[in-house]
Amino acid sequence: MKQIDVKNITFDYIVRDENDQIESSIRALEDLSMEVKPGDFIAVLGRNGSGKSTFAKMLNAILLPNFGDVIVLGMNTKEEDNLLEIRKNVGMVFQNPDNQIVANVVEEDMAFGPENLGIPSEEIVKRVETVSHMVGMEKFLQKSPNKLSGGQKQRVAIAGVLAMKPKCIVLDEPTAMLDPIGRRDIIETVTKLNHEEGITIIMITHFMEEAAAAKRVVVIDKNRIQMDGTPGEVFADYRRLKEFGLDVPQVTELAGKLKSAGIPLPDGIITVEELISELKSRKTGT
Amino acid sequence: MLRDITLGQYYPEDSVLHRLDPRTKLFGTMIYIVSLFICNSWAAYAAAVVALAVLIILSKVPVGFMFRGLRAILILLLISVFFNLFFTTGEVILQMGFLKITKEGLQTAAWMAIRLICLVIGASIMTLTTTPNSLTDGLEKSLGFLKVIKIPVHEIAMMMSIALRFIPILVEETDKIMKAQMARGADFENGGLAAKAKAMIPLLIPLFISAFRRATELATAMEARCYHGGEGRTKMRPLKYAVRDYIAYVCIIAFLVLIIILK
Amino acid sequence: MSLKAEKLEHKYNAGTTLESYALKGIDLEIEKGEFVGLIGRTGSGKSTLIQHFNGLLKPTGGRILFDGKDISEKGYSLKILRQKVGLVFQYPEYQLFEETIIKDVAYGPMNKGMSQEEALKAAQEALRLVGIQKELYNKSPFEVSGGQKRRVAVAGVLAIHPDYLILDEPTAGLDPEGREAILGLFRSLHEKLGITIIMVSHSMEDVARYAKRLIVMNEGSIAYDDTPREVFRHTDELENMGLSAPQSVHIARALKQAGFDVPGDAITVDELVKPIIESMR
Repeated sequence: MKQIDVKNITFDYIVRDENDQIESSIRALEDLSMEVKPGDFIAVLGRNGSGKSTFAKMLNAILLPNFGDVIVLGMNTKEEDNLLEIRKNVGMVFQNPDNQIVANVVEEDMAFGPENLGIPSEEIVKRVETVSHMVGMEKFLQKSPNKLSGGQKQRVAIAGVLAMKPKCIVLDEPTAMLDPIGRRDIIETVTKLNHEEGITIIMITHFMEEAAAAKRVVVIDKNRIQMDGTPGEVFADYRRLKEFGLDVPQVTELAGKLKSAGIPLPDGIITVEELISELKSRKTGT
Repeated sequence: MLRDITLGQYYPEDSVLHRLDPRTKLFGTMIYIVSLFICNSWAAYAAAVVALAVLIILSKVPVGFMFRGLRAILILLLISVFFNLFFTTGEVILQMGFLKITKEGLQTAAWMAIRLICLVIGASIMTLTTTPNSLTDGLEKSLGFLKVIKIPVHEIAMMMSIALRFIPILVEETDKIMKAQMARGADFENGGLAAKAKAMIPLLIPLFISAFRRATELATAMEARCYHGGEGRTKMRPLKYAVRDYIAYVCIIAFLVLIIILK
Repeated sequence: MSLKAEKLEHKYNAGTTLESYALKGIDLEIEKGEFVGLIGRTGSGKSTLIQHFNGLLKPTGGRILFDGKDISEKGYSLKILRQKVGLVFQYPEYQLFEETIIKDVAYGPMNKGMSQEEALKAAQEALRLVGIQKELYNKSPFEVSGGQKRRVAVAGVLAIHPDYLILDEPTAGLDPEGREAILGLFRSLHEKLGITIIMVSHSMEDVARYAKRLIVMNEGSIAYDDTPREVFRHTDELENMGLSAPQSVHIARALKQAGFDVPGDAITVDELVKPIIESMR
């Protein structure tokens, strides 16, 4: 079963001059295909300018492909009539926490999506109550967003999306502007939503440690998908990752270096526990 | 330095005035201002002052805080009192050189002063007891009838609310860019007017670009959350009149009638 | 030569009910030629502290000495201080404003009083240092990539020829490649030109690799001021302050607990490779 089906999409950013004539166009995505299953947790990696942000915006019809189709729950993003239904089901959280909070009070911001959908007032109150607990912001409902930390603002943004009861949440570098604590909070929240609520997560990130928390890692470079697999599989190919301007978590780097020094370790070690148990078994083995 | 500026002058407190529906308060303030201009007797002015005193007590906002708003109009107040006092013709009661105070002048000046003070404090009571948000809500709801003549009331209210949210952010950003340019040797304080204006360019351009970037990002984020204008929108907490609002409306009308009788 | 804070204190909203300490009792001396990492969670006072170092904020208590002179003293030229102590703010690309990259970088030197010719020369030199190609000099700073914008902004401060360069989270928002490149740049500025670097960072991995001295701030005071190796010994205390040691420190500890003979104070991956291989034999 497919929740989102991306079929051979191509997208160009068009730069126009004053007379509305096409001056130049920059390719962002080229013949890219991908399937997302319900309950997936996908980390999307790629250097700046690789096209990954454009890709994210394709998933809920903020941008439409020039060629190819994006099918969300059986609905084509190109059809105007599907717009609200698609955006309700595929929520989006952006990088800058300040530039996505609309209201002046936390609870009102969480209510913004449902209000737009015309949900009855009593139901909105219930939803806000529920989602504020899901992201651990129930104590801040009456606060001004301007008084919150970056991580808290980002959790408000996630709650605002959750209040629309989406099947999938796309997060475009949600932790880029946060400190380590804020970052950890967001990853914990997102992981919990995936495990406990079964919400599909597609998260774009520059932090390899965060990608290690996902079930599936997709690497985009030069407008295409270059790697797609479990974190273990993707991180095993350290050299190719470097080629795409990426990195691996320190523990994977260490395992790789030990391996090239002659210790027979399996590929794709992404946690400290794995490394230690592997090393232990080798040690007792000899 | 810039972060000290606070916007709106809402005074958080739990009073009956705070709990009133913003539409009731808007209506009441409007009636009060109108009544001040109807007043034309000492009795009517006395009634207006007493009503104001009652409101101040009901609002639980410290009186000192109330009168702070007067500082802004102090000069205006003095000038109007001065002119009315010395330049009204009538029965002379005191003559100092070419300046003379008339009985009529004294009365007009006093009424003028009372009117101005009541006006400013009356309006501040509304802003002090109503959050900018609920004020926006109230305006949107009470001016809703303007939609008929194609005035985009919802959009204007949404813009006001977004402005309220972003002004503090942009103020902080101004402070940051200013410091960043000062670290590169910019001087915003010294020099003549032309030099100062020129020194503002490195501040204004980045600020402008940033405001545009924020606006674009916010628009995208709102779209992603299914925003499509005011059509078919519901509210989590729609404005609802309570019993106290009906009582307030009765009081407001009664007050207006009283002023008309006393005038 | 040094930059020194003596009993430095900074209160926000002094005299009101909202009074709060951003800094209290900071004693610190940074000698010329050091590479210092400054870490602490949001609100720990790091940003407030660095703004004191070039006179953008005034202490509410204590003082800042530059080469032994109190910068708050009457007649002390903050203008000259800011030429000696360059400060690159977080997301510095948001301060770019000129039509072309070269003009933007020349803004600082022009403010310093250089002639246009000299300023452009200084700008070219700075752009060369940060690795911006000549072809881009006359492009708009808003047309280039995020990583390039960041480097242009750094060049804008470098062009003033500061002896001290303070960087507030210079890698924020960059991709791994961009992070690596800009950190490499700071290392070479430090090693080749002898510029003192004070780098505020959230990334423990970065400071472990680049800084020789690490200052940890917590609630407006200095919690630790030592070599990274010594500081990262206090893993639990750092956790309590909302910070965490680099992953390699955790790996080293876990290995040691599992009975491997590795140095418990290793702070980078490379330090671990050899001991692990040896203990496997």
